[in-house]
Amino acid sequence: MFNSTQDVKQALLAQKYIANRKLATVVYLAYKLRKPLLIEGPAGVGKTELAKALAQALETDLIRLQCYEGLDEAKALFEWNYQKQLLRIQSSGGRTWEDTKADIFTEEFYLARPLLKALKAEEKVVLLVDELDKSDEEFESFLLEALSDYQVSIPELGTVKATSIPVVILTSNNYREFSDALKRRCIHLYIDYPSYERELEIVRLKVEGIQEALAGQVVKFVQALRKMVLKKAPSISETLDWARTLVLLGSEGLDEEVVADTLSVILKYQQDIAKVEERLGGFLASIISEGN
Amino acid sequence: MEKQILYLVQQLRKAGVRVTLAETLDSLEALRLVEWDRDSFYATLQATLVKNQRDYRVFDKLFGLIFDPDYFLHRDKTAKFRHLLKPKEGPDCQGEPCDGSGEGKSMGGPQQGQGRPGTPAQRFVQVIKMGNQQEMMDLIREGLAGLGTLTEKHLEDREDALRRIKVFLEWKTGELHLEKQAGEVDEETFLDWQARLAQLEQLLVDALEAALVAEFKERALEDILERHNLNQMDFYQLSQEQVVEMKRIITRLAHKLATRVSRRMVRAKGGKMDIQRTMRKSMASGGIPINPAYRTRKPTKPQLVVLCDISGSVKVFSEFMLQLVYSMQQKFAHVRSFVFVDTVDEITVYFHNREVAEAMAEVYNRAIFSQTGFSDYGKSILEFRQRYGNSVNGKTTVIILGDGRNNYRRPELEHLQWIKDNAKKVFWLNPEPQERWNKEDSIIGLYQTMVDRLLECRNMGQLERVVRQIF
Repeated sequence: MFNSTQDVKQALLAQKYIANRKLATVVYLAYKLRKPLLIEGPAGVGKTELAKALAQALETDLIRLQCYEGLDEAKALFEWNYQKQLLRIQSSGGRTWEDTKADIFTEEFYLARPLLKALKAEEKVVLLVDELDKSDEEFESFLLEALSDYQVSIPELGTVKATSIPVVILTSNNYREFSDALKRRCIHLYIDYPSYERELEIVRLKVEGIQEALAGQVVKFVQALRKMVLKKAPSISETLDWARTLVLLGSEGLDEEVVADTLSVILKYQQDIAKVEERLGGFLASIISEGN
Repeated sequence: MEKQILYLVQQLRKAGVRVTLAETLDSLEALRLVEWDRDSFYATLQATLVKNQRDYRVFDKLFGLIFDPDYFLHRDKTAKFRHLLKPKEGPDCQGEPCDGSGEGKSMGGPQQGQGRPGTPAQRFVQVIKMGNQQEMMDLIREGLAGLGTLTEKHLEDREDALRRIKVFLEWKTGELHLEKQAGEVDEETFLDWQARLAQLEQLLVDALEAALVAEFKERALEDILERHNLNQMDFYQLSQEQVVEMKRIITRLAHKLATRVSRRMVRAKGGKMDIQRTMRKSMASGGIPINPAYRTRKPTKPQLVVLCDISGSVKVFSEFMLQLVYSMQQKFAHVRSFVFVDTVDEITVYFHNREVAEAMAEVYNRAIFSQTGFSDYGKSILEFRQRYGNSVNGKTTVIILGDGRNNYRRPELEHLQWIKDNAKKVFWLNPEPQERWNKEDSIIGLYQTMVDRLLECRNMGQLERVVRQIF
């Protein structure tokens, strides 16, 4: 469906996702080379959002596998539906064991989890393995098999090969390192905080009814915050939340009162809020004067 | 082209970036798919060859040196700082791909630049205030010229060369001027200045490296790459940026350790069956026990006592270790940490509910660890036994960090012996290179007999290995 990086860029833009040249190139490559795309970067810069936008752009389903500590094959790949199998055995009455065995290990009796669903999907889907860094290392090695050949082995069913190769997106917050074996198989993309222009573009696109002046001030303020040493720097999603809040409150420009009231939308730690509040006057003065 | 890419891969490997053959093939295949402009070329190579954000810097450096020296000057670096540039400074060419060499793209007006009157320091201040890219480059070029012809000496001692350039540019005087004026401007402007200062410094390092590579080719390149290999670099030689990077790595290492323990617990589960819970669970499947439940075993938590020398000679390393301890203390309950120079103090409490930087500052402000400023291992060990001896028992692992340079004082071996007899294990980590052990006032050999293991630990690679051995 994508035939050039330009296609990718356009398609994503249609889904209100602004891709820069690099991002478009890398997505295009992952798509064309049929390799998983490993996206890293700080929280809230649009890693998951990219997967969603991509699924919409390709007009296909998004299958999401959220990782957490202790996630295992049974939750990710498939599991036999024991209860249903039991019912079947009990209700089958006088049938022979051979018959029953052939019966209960069939498709009707398993629960397909995200990974298997993605492989068995008729059409090309987007498989999002979210926050892979939260999973255990064993799961990572299990994923390797699935991702390198797009097939998995299940003892009772044999090898399941993908009907159509899904677009795989792995995201990570850098909570831990991945093995070289996994990285080797992926195309790597690091998304950083956006530049002023790009963030402004995003705010304009995503926040309805925002005035030009306010958008500029909001982005400038957030960009200035990112230069400070904070526990958690605000990311794009926080910028957007803040801009929406300000629009709702009907403010036309930033002033000390409004900012102090809404600071908790962009900063998530009390220490950070205190730190910024201290210097709020200086910050705002320079931002507002520059705007004029 | 292929040759050049293979060369790039080779150099990346020398710098400690692991690039496999499969990845090289990927990159070649990928290049067939994209248009050949600077951006795509760069993005393609980076996405296929480098899978770790911390290796991006090496990659950028090599990419610049091998393919396109002007790339970063005019695109990525400026993109980050672009909004800081005032519009009056002329046409902005960073948005579109700059064709041709960067030299011709003058961003400053003709009246600015070379012919500016005033001392170098004044110009320096001016450049930082304006943040004009072209002027920055001019300044750096002048600085490099001030160094004269590049010789072997500059290659061997890059720091010295850098310092000379800075002296020539009156860098320090300029910085002082800026600091004096800091009070008169608002917060954001000052932050901008700082960002530009850092940028200028980076540009200067880059320019010097490029010049060295142009002059000495391979040899200079190898030298530069070695400096980027964090795993192999001595802790002492790290640049400030690398220290920051290292801290991030250490936090991750601590996390890895914590999860490793939890994984062991998961494994250990397959032990005794818990009949009660198995029965209860079997109700869901009509009384047939399909999923047996096991008794969960309580894991023994490692009890740690960490003793860090934080005197000048080993400070850098100790700080890394303290950071590791800090990160672990968040995960394990039984960690007690102590610092010493010639007297010992417990710092465990400073680490509770604090950010790491704040905690470290607290340690330096509040803990009492130095009376004379010279390390005295003997006295510290003696005091540790007297004051905190009860923290050592059969379950504790004691880790001592230091170079064993005792300034010719009493070693107090019997007290270390006591610690060894009472603790489960005693490890000594020495950040000094092995060939310097037992020379001058180092009595590490004496202490070696009183600990279970003595390990050299002077770079990240070794630290990682050591930490795995201990836990």
